[in-house]
Amino acid sequence: MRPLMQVLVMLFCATPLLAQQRIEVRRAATRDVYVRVNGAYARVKVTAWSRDSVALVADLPTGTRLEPAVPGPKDPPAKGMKFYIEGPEGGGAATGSVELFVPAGATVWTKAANARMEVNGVTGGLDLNLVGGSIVVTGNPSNLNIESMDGTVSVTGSPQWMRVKTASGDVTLRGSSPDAGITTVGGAVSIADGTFERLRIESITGAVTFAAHMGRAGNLVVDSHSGTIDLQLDQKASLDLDATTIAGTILNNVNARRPTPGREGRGEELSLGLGIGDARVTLRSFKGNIRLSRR
Amino acid sequence: MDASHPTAGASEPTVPDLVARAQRGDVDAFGVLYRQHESRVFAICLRLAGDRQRARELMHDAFVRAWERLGTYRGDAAFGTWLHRLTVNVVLEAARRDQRRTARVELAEDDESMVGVPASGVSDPLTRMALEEAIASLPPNARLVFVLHDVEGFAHDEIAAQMGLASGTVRAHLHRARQLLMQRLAP
Amino acid sequence: MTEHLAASVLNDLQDDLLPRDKRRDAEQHLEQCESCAAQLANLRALLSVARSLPAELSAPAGSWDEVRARIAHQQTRPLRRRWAISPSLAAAAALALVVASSTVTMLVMRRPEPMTASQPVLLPAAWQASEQGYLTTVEGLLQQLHEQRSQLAPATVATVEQALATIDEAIGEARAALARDPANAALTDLLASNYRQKVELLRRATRLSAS
Repeated sequence: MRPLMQVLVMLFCATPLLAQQRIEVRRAATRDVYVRVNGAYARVKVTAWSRDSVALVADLPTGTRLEPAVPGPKDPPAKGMKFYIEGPEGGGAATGSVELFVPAGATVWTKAANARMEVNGVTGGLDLNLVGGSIVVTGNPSNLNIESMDGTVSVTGSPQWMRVKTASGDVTLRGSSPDAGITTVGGAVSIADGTFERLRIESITGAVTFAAHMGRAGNLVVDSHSGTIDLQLDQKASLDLDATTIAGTILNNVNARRPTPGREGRGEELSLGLGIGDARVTLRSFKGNIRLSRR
Repeated sequence: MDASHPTAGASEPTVPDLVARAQRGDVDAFGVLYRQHESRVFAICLRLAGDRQRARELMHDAFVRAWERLGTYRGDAAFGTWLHRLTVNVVLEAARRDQRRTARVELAEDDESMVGVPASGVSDPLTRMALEEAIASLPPNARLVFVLHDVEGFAHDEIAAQMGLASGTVRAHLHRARQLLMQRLAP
Repeated sequence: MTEHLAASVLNDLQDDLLPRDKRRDAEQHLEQCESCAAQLANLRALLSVARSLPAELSAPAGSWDEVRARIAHQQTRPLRRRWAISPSLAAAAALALVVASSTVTMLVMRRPEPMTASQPVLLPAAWQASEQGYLTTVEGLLQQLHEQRSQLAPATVATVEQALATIDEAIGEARAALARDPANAALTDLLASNYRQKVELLRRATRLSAS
């Protein structure tokens, strides 16, 4: 069922490009327009602007086709638009670049194989999907969903809700979020600067560094198999913490409390309370080490 | 504990049987209950949350909560009724936590909008879809109250108690929701 | 004619919340005022559609797998007490032979084989159904990925395979440890986390290869 697409009268047209050339598409759009950009490109830059319109400027190499599904120029403002970029026959690495301007409240969905994705200022939703390359998001989207394999992920801002999943790509987050989840197999996770209410991090071998602040009733859970968990608390941190390793060690530089041997004499366990806050921190590692310190 | 799998060709187990097995830790029995009730639970979550992705999370939360609380279900009400109440509680608790969160928008990978796909046919799908979209676009409290009162049939006082609001506030949210919906659905 | 009825009065009238005298006044007004009568008709039409909305909406596919995974993650909580009461009895009764999570490599290059017991490990009974659920999900996703292999670049295949090998190694270690210490809640959580990672990774890979 695709009501948006049913409501819109979509004009499908294929635009063959004869040589490396620039193509531009501009259409009036609602402030919460949904835009998809999918296909063979090496770079996409999405920028929020204050206009009620969407503009796409693409520089694409010979043989590449841009297939836009957008309303006609005289139609009412679009609620949804799609752009598909089909690479030249025979494949080869995509080299084209796309610049997309959207109303700040737009929801943008992108997908590419190997690309650099950059998004600035979107306050609506973002759903960014990538195999390799990098994703850089700056701003405060209400929803942020990122899926990547090798690609690195960097977020600077305060998504209201965010989920980031990578295989080996590193994840760096500078900012805040009331609801965030990060999952990685081998990527390093680094969280800094802001305040988090609900944050869950899962890693297999990737190291996790948390150097941000937990909200008063916040809940942080970190699970790792063999990655080091490095928790750097601020001076005013107020929380209850439980740390457990099955085979790794726990180093507590926060106060004098020492870890106790774990069940059956393997691994270590440590519980400590700081301040009066309700924040709750749970750290579990199979054989990685856990390090607690003040910053 | 009973961790057996349903046997192919066995007669259809009753809901009380399934509940009893699930209470003993039989995840497969709980899975059957899940499949019997997921469309209903999802409908509640989607309408209350106004967003498919969030609704999916809330539905998961509701069923996980149901699993955790199965021991407290004593069969006084139908299992579906118990689950319905529990789901509403889960969504309202989440709404309180998310108070600062703005209305969420669709992020699913596919093209589906906030509107759900009906599990069975309806007489006037276009009107229904337009209403579903309009409900999803309501401010959070207005949406919660409208769905609970005008779609799910809860009474004002019940909603006030569940949401921790004064009865007059609930009425104000309801009136606002209806007004906004009529405006948005006007030809 | 008196001035138009306030929206709150129309709403309360509809909801049968007006005191009798005010209700009578409102109804008298409505008999004479087309504008207010139209407003009420609009409201009733809205509520009529609201009441006709389907009670059920199709839930997203694959949700049960995720709920099941989370239940597995939580499952030690109600069960832990049972084990704690009688560890020796629990050890005898709750351990069972479970198929191992066989290492899955070369997933795209050759057809995935059914999961077999390559390294039998004794696990708590509470985990059996949950783990079987994971394995079934994983097998289905591997099959799907195998069918989509032509759409995946070799480099992507290599990345997915390497990540899967890493996760499988972690699962193997956590399972062996859980068999030694079946009442260890942290271990159960870690093993569930590993399985979630595997399912998630495979889902991502299938989504990436889908056009």
